[in-house]
Amino acid sequence: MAAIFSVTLADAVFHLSSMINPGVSNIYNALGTQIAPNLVTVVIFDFRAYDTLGESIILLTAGLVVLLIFGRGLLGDKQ
Amino acid sequence: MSQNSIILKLVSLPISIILICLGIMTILGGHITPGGGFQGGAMIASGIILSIIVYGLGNSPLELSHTYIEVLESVGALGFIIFGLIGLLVGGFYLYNVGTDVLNIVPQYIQNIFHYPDVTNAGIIPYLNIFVGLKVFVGLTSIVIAFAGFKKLTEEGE
Repeated sequence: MAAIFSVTLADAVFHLSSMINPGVSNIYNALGTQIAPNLVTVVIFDFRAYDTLGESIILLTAGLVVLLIFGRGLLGDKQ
Repeated sequence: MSQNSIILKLVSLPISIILICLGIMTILGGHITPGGGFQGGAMIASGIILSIIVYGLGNSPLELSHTYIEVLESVGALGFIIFGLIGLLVGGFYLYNVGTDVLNIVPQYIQNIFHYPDVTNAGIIPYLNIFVGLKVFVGLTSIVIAFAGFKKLTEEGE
C-alpha cells in the first residue's frame, strides 16, 4: 500500500510517464500495421523471424529427444 | 490405447475433421486474424491426436505414415530456411521480408514474386505461417504417435 502510494506520489511530482523512452516500440507500431493487420504476426514472422526459427527447432529437438529417450532399446537394430 | 465406447468412436471423427479444418483456417488467416502458424498447427495436431487416442494407433482413420511425417517435417524446416536464404541473397538480411520490402532495396520483379496475392501488404508472412504450421503439426503429432507406438512395442515385448 505504501509502495503504491509512493509510486503514485512520485508520478504526480516528477511526471514519470513522460520520462519513459518508448524506444523501438514507436517504429514497430508505425510500420507493423502497414504490412499486415495482425501486428503480433508481423512481429513474430517479420521483425523477429529468427525467434520463430529457433522455436521450430525446439519442436524438432523435442521429437528427437522423445525418440532417443523413450525409444531406447525398442527402435533400430536389436542387439 | 484405444477406447471401446461406441459413442466416442462415433463423435470423435467429425470433431477431429472440424478441428483440422479450423486449424487450416487459422493458418491461412494468420496475418489477418488472431492466431498464426504455431496455433493452427497445434489445432490440426490436436485433431489427429484425438483420433489416434480414441481409435488406437493401428486402425485410426486419420493415420500419418512414416514417409508423410518425414516429407512434411522436411518441407516445413527447409521452406523456412530457404525463404530466409532468399532474403539474405536478395535483400542482404537473413529472413528479410522480400515481398513487403520496407527498406526499398529489392527490385520490383522479385518483390512481385513473393508478394502474397491479397489486399494486405503481407509479403512472405503467410508463406512462413504455412511452413511453421506444417512443422508444428507434424512435430506434435509425431511425438504422440511415437508414444503410442512405444507403448504398443512394450506390450508386444512382454
